[in-house]
Amino acid sequence: MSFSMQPAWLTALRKKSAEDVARLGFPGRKHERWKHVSARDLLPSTTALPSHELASFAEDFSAPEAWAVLVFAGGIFRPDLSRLPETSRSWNVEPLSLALDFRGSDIISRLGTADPSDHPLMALNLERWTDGLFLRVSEGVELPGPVQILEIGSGSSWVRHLVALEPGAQATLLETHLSPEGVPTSTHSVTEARLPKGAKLRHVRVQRNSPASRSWSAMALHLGEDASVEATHFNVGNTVSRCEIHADLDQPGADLSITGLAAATSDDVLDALTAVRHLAPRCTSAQTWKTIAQGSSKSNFVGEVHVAPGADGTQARQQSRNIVLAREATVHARPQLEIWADDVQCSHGSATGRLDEKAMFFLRSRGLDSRAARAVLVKAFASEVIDTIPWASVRSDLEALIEGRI
Amino acid sequence: MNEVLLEIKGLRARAGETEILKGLDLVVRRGEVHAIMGPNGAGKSTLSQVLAGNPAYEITGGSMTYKGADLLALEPEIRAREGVFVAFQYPVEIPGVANNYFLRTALNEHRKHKGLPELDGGAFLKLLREKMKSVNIDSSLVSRSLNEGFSGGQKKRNEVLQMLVLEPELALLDETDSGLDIDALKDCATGVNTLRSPERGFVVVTHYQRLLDHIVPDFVHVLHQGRIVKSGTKELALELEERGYEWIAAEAS
Repeated sequence: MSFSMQPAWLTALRKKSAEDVARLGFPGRKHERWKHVSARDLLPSTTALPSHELASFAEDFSAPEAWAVLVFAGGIFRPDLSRLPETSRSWNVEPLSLALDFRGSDIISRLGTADPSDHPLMALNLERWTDGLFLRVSEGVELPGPVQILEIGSGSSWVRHLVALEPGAQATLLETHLSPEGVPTSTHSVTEARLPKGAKLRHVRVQRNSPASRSWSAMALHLGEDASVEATHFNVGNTVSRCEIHADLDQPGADLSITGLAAATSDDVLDALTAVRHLAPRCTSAQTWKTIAQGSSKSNFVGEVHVAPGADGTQARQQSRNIVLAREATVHARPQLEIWADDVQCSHGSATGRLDEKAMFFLRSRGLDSRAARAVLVKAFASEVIDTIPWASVRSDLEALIEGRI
Repeated sequence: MNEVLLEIKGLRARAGETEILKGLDLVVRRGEVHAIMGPNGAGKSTLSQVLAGNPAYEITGGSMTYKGADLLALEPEIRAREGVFVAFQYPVEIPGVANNYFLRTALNEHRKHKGLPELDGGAFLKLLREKMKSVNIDSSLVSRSLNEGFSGGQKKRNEVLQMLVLEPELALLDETDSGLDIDALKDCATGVNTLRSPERGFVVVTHYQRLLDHIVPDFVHVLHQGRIVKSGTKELALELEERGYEWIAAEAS
């Protein structure tokens, strides 16, 4: 890989990351955090890039509700397929590759700083990223509309998005990850954000890659005083995938909400890890993770919640709810709470089972056959998450995807 | 005499290890309204569940014939599409399933079964609004999750609403009156009365005579320990109201 035009500091950062990768290695399945999908499963695919159909992809999946759309194919920004907003002093919405030329100092102080320190794929991503979104919003400004990132898988891609909100700024980000049918791709995507005082980020990520794909995506978040992040994650497409959300609640009053919905079928392996650290008093976190498991799929959710000494007044809720529709499908849900403060309200719960028999019988007694009744109940289970999405085009895409997977 | 709609002969059923129905006989003809009364634990709700085809109950003997066919051999959804409807005593709450979406899906399953074209959203809504008026159901409930957070009266009205939309040939109402105030009770009764016709048969299961002031039955039966032990006309209900069930138990044993 060559990064000829890049500034010296970036060369140094990449070099340091490469050293981190060498030092950390890639943990195998013996490592608790990588029990089901090991980091090795997620290393780059070498398949050649298919460049056709990109335009129609971009057209089909650009949400009409989006205020700006940035398309990255195989990790390369495609200005021809993108729709950038007018420039303004209040914001920058542009590819990182471009921002490097004009706003190097904004980036040097931020890039990679939200990453957890001990994470090999994060380090590898920081070494190899080719492009991504640079989103900056000025103090107190709310972006006029949602920014969509379309990540189209093509061969192996390394993408990194940097979200730089200033105090009190507000932004909504929709990431759509997809890949061509039947073409093996691997994607490695990181979204990093440090939110200062009062900043708000609404983040939705839809992973609807084709079954041939492998994907790893992570969010690295730091929340300052009274900052808030509402993250919703859909995982409805990959054969092997892992998504991670690392969030540090650094200052009092930070508020984090994470909702996830995974639909696994055939022999999919879907892995999810959330690592939330309460490091300051009076922060709240709420997590709901739901899985619909079919075929002989394996789905996993590991939810780590760490409450540091002194983080009094912490409220941390976590629940995972899972429906298993086939005998061979498995779901593992593992909450891991580590609480070192006294004055806290923490709860976690996990429920995994079949569809409610009473509800099934009721629907059948009204004339729906088992298949239709199941579809109604699964749709209801999914709609609790889907209905929180404010864009009709995204909701209907997700509904159709899930219906198609049952 | 009208055609027999439902014929139950010597029906035995159990839930788990306990036998609850112990040889129940009942004949319902088109155009008739039958009331089944009886103390708690007599088997009233089991009869409702068995008629609807709940797989949690095991049939250990006897037969149920509906429109000349073996009802017990039919899946619950086929029974429903063939015109059997049970208004349940404890309607389930199903979070995330919108009432109107569910009901339209159900109606269209019935229509497909009959070879009729499906109703689109607009046509269905028109039909639904019309039916809602007759049971005084609040229009805001229609787009909410099925029975979720509904009051007791709203749930029962919602059951009756489903009956009105699906227009069954045989309807069994399982203690639809329990826990209802007088307005809700009247609305539910109105729902039944608008559907009464020479083609349809009704079975009204109840503890109390008061519902029968509003839905006047042709026959009243007393269910005791899993069997019909006494049958009569509507005057029997009044007698039960006055004398309780004990004299019947004594008579039966």
